[in-house]
Amino acid sequence: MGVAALGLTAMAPAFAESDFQTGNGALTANADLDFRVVIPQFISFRVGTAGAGNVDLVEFSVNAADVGNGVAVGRTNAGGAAIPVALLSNVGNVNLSATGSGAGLTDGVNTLPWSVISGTSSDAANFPVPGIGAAATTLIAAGSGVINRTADWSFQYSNASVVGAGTYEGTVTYTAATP
Amino acid sequence: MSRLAATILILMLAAGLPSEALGYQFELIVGGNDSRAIHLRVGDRAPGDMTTNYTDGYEGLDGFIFCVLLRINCAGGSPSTGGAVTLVSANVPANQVGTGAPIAMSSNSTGAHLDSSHDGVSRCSAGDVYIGGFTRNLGGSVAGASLSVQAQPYLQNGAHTIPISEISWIAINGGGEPVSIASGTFNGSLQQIGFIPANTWVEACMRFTYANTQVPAAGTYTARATYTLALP
Repeated sequence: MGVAALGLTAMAPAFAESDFQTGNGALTANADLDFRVVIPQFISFRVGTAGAGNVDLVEFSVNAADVGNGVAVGRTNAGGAAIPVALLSNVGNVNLSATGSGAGLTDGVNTLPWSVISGTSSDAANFPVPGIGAAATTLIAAGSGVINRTADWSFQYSNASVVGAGTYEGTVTYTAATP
Repeated sequence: MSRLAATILILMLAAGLPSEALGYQFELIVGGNDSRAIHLRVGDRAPGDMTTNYTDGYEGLDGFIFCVLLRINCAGGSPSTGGAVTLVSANVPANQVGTGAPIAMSSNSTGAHLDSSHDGVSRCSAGDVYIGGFTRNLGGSVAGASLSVQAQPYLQNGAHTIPISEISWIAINGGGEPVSIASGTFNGSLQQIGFIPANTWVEACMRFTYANTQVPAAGTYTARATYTLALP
């Protein structure tokens, strides 16, 4: 009985953890092993200088003779350098948005609305600068579900109005989030 | 039991031979007397083998006396076929996805599933995968059986994939038989990783690593590798 039973076993390929085959011809024993890799969701978003706690300053210093002449002013500090931005995520599409502090840039009781600040991107098609306070801009992920993009953002002050002299400050928080 | 076997058994009893050897004698009779057999275990033991160890008849002085000279006790027992498939997994921390820093993988084998099927010794560490087997080929013309593995080419999560080449392993000696199983990296094709000479036990512990060089979409990715021991 033992010989007959083992002979039948030898003819049927097994796919288990432990396999024993016997017989008088060629023999094959199989054992499976399963693998699993769990990848969590993440969004890594950087605006400006890398490093926790770094907040870059974009300063527009308007010449006295040019105040309110309607000619936009670019960044005047840090040699006018653009702001490097990077996004790496694995969650599919990502919404980009920008929220300004308070009602605008302030100097004491004087305020400039956030609409006086605009931005352009070195890769406007794939990594545009979201408007401050505007609806979120959706970045479309490729079929892989992964977004890995970099760009340089440049900012301008519209300089369309004569405003009170002073130093107007505010903070814009850029957010990348799943839709 | 044949008359010859019974006669030999009686002679052994009279000679005061070790009871362990007599146990093998009974195994031979119960399990049949095929001259060729192979056994392969990867990960957990079959439920019927949790507390049973097996040897091959040719090994050691006992094997020489019983199997080579007397041509009995060559089976060394008949391990079971079956058992759940062992799982090797890795959870990549969110802040480390795709950094290239390797992630150690861990199996769900525990307790006796980490022990040798050959001598029962605790062989593998937690997280490892036991691999072992033997080839019996009495009087055969082939030198032994080849051990190979073929993994699916990708870990898969729906339409998203990770190349199986992200997973590699090292085969280490847990203190038992010499390691003759190769370390390597899966490539999705058939890969020969070892050879089990006739009438020899081979065993090792496999320790797997996820290379973590990819940034895949979030999710749970799975793949299966099939190990094959083939005696031509």
